[in-house]
Amino acid sequence: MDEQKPVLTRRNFLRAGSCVALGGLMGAVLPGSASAESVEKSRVVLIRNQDVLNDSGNLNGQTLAEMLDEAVMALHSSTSAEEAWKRIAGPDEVVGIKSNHWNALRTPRELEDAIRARLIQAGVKPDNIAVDDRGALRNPVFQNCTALINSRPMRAHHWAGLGTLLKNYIMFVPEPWKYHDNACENLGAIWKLPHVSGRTRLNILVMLTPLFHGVGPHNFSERYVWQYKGLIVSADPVAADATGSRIIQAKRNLFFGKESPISPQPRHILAADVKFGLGRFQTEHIELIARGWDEDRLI
Amino acid sequence: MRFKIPKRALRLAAHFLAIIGCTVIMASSTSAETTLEYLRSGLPRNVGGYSARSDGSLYDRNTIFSYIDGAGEVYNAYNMRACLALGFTKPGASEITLDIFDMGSPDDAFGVFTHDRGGTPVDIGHGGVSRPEWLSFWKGRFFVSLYSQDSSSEAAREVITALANQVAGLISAPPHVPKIVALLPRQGLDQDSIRFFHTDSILNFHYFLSTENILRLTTQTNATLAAYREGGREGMLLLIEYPKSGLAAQAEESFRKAYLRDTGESSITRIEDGTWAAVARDGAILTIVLNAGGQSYAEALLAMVQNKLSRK
Repeated sequence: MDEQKPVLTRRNFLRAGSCVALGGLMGAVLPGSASAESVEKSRVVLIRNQDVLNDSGNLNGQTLAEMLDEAVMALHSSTSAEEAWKRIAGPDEVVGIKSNHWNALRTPRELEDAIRARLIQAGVKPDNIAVDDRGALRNPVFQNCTALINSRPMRAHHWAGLGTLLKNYIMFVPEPWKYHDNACENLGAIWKLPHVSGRTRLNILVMLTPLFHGVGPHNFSERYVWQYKGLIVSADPVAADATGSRIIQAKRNLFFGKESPISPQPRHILAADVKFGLGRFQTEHIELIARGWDEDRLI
Repeated sequence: MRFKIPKRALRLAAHFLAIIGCTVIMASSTSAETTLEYLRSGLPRNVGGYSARSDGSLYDRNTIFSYIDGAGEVYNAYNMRACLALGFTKPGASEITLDIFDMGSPDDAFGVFTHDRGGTPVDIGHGGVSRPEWLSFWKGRFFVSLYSQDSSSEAAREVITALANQVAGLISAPPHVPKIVALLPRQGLDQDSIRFFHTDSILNFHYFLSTENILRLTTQTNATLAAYREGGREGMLLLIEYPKSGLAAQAEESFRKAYLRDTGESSITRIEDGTWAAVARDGAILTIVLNAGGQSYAEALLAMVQNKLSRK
C-alpha cells in the first residue's frame, strides 16, 4: 500500500455525510472538494419518451432518433439538430462509434443507425464511419479516427458495479483484464491513452431498459430490468455515468424496499473525476437538463 | 547374518520411485481437466425436452473473460482452475446454461458460493440456492451454476433442478467447512450471512471498508465475514488468518492506523454512525468487530472469538 496516498475508509464517507449504506459514492460531497460555485458545471441531458417502447418492449426507432436529436440540441444549445451535429463532427473527420454488443442488453441498432445517419448529414463520409465493440482495436476506421462517439446501455456489472460509458472503452486496450483491479477503479486511465485521449465528442448512456441488479455469472435477469425509456447525453462521460448511477441506485432502493447499495461500488466513476480529471462526479457540479416524459424519473 | 542391499539396486529403486512420483504428480496436475471431463461425460444429452447444444467449452483463468467478461474476476479471486460451460436448448425456449467451475479446493468452492447467497435454500450438493432464473450450489471443489434468462418458465426451472441434482450426484466429496469459518462463534450467528474470501475486492463487495487494502489481504489470506444478532444487539465479525503472525501484526497496525487512528492504544472505538469497531490479534489470526450496536457487544464478540481460539 502506498503510504503517501491518502486512505479513504468507510469512516471518511460517514463523516462527509454520504450514506455508505446507500452505495456510498452517489451524490456525496467529497472531503476537500471545491464548491459548486467555483467549478464549471458539466451539462447532462436526460431525455425520456413514453412512446419509445411499447408494452411488449418493441422499440420505435423514429422516436428514438427524435429523442437523440432533441438531446443533442439541448446539449449544444442549438436550434436545429443539423447545426448541433455539425458541432460534433465534420466532413474531414473519421468517426468511430464505440457501441456495446453484450448479448443480453446491447446498444440498439436503431440508435447506431441514427447516429450514423446524423453524422453523414453533418458531412462525414460514410466510409469514414464505423460502429464496433470488441473489434474496435483492429478496426481501421477506429485506428485512424479523429473523433469517437461512445454509446452503451447502463447495466449492473458483476465486478465493476456498473457497466458504464467509462467502462465501454475497455475494448481500446489489448488486455482488458489488466484494468480489473479494485473493481475496475482505474478505467479512467484508458481514456488518457494516446489513441483515445481527447477524441470523444459525445457520450450517450442508453437508459431505455437498464439492468439494475445482476445475478450469477451471466448477470442478466428480465426481473431486474425496467422501462425507463431514456437517454443520457453529455460531452462529459463521468457526469453522464454519475447521473445514470443515481437513477440505478434510486431504482434499487424502490424495488427492494430498502437501501440497497450498488455492489460492488462503481468506484471507477468517482476515480475518473478525482484521479484522472475526466469529468464531474458530484451532483453539485452537474447541470442536469431533463426533457420529455417526467413520470417516475427517480432523480 | 546382515543383509546388505547393493548400491546399484538402491539407485535403481530410487529412479523407479522417482518415475512413479512424477507420474502421480502429472496425473494430479491434469486432474482438474480430467475431472471436468468426467463430469461432462456423465451428463445427460437430453433432459425435459432440452438438448445439449454441443459438448461444451472449457475456460481457464485467462480465457474466462471471453466467456463472462469481468465477472470472471470473481471466480479468479477464488482461485478458479477451469470452467466447463454447456448450453441446453429447446425450440421456443431460452437456453439453459450450465457452468461447472473447478475451484481447486472445497474452501474456494464454498467461498464463491457464499459470494451470492440470496434466494431460497435448496438441498442440493453441500449447499444450494434457487432463484427464478438461477440455481447455484457447491460440492467438493466444484461450484455449479444453472441459468436461464427466462425467469418465468416453470418448465425451465424443473429442468434446471433435475440437471443440478444429476451434477451433484456425479461429484463424490465429504462435507467441508473452511477452518477460519469454523472459528466463528455460533451464539447469535446468522448462518446465511457467512462469507468466505481472500481479497479486499471481495470484502468491499460485501462490506465497504476502504478504498485501499488496509487489512493487507492477499490470495494467501483466508477470511470470513458474518453477521450477528442477539437480544436486540447486532454486529459483524471479520476473522482473517494470515500465513504468518508477522503479517497479521502488520495488518493490525495498518488497520489501526487507517481505521482506529483516533483511539490511541485502545482496540475499540465508536465510529461516525454510532456503531462500534474493535480489533484483536491472536498469532496469525486477526479478529475485527464491525457495526456493533454497543461497546459491550463489541467486547462480547471479541471475547467469544478469543474463547474459541484459546480452546483450539
